[in-house]
Amino acid sequence: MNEYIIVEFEDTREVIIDDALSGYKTGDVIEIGGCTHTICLEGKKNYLPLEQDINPSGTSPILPFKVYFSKD
Amino acid sequence: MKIKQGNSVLVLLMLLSGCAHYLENDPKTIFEAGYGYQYLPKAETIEQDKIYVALALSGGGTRAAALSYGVMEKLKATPIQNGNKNLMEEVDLISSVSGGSFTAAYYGLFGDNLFSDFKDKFLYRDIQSELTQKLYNPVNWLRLMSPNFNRIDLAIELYDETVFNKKTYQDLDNNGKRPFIALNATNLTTGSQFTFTQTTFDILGSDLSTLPVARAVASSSAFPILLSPVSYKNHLASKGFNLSRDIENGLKDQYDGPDPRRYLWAYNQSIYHTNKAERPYVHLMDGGLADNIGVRYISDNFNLSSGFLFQRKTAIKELIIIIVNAKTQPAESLDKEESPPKLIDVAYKTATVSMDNYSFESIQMISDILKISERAAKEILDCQAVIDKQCSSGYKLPVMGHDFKVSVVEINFLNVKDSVKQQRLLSLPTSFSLSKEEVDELISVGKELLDQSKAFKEVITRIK
Repeated sequence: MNEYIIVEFEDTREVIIDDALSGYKTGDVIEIGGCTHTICLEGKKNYLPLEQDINPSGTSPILPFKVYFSKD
Repeated sequence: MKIKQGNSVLVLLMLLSGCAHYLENDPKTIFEAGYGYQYLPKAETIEQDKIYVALALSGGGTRAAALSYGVMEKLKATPIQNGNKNLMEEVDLISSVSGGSFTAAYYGLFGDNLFSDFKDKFLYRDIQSELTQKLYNPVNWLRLMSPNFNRIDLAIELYDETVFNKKTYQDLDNNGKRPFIALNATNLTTGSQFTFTQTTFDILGSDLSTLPVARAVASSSAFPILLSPVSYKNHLASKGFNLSRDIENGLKDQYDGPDPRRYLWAYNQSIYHTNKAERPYVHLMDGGLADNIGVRYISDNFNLSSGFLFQRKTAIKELIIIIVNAKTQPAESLDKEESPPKLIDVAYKTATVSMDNYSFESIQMISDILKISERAAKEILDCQAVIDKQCSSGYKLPVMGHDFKVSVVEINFLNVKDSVKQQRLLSLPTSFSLSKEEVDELISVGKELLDQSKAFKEVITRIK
């Protein structure tokens, strides 16, 4: 089952999913499998939290789960 | 004296037979990220990925190899981008099983020479008789007495010397990995798909680059009962190797978690790393036992976050999957008899029935997975259109990170219009021995079926 998320951060960065560059950017709707994923951002580690484990369910492309990162 | 001589000969023969051993896969003592035959780094492909073409070549012996050849010849004869390229040049990935693996591996190693050499090198040959002749050779009787040398090892020698010119995965790697050739076998213990890439061999602590391609092709096509499984050593873990985060998260979720399929994938991958003492060997058989169409490798790489297709979703504009399905429906006589089928018939049916049963479902599954992704982007655009029409606020929905068009083209004998011809094709055996006329007809049918496919015509119109 696919789930949908958006990663919110004040800069545009590529989103790293499970330690791999996903091609998706912050602010994009991202399609992922409905299971546990570890999310972080490409580039300088000047944000918090440094990574987040998420397990979204019941999302849709227009109602994605939001993952927030803020500048450190 | 004669008894002594006899004993000496016997001892010599026993020594010879005891020495016969299959070729072991080499260890890799130190793990190197990005080493060996694994999918190209994203930075090297991102421009090429806009039109992403994947071929899935099914099993079915020479029948499947010839049908695949015909389809690939047609792709080569199909101009795109104002005639600057042909469609075969756009193929990024060939995932294959069993008979289809011969065509895939040959193309990976020898490129366009496939179209000049492969008919004589493989398709027109009576490989089955050649294998039988090897079995008649008394030297091979002795070798086969060894517990570590089997019928399949004779087949590997034949393929290695006469089809693949002793080429290894290093040679495949040197050819640039585009298209990337994914030869698929089945792990006899777990029943899961085993794909010959360095990523898979990293888990075995092994170096794929020294492995003869013939051995991988033989593993992919080791038909149950007729041929023995192919054995590989699960070496000590390479220094510095760790399971990927995708696998770790899959295991953490457990079977009763949100995605049991990912859990099973992660479990089947991990056990050869976490429990090496209990699993010092891996035995592989025909890839058709896990997926006789070759699409599972494609769908896994599309779904899993560690998959190269998942990581390229945002770059792809046209995703074209061409499935060459050489499935037949041979005339069945079992139902005509009151007495139950004989043991050999039951064994054959048990080994092959799953290959046929799940082909249709596999094709539907990949088609559904890709269409859901395609529709997700459209759903946001459709909603945005309603908002733009109904609201004056100028509110903008976030956009989907990917936006591609999906085309799934299936080549299947059921689409042959002439019923007599269709019946003839559906009755072809699964063997490595077909007549020249049968091979030529299969090649020609592959081209015709691709040419008449509505989905293929639509793709060509878009990318021409």
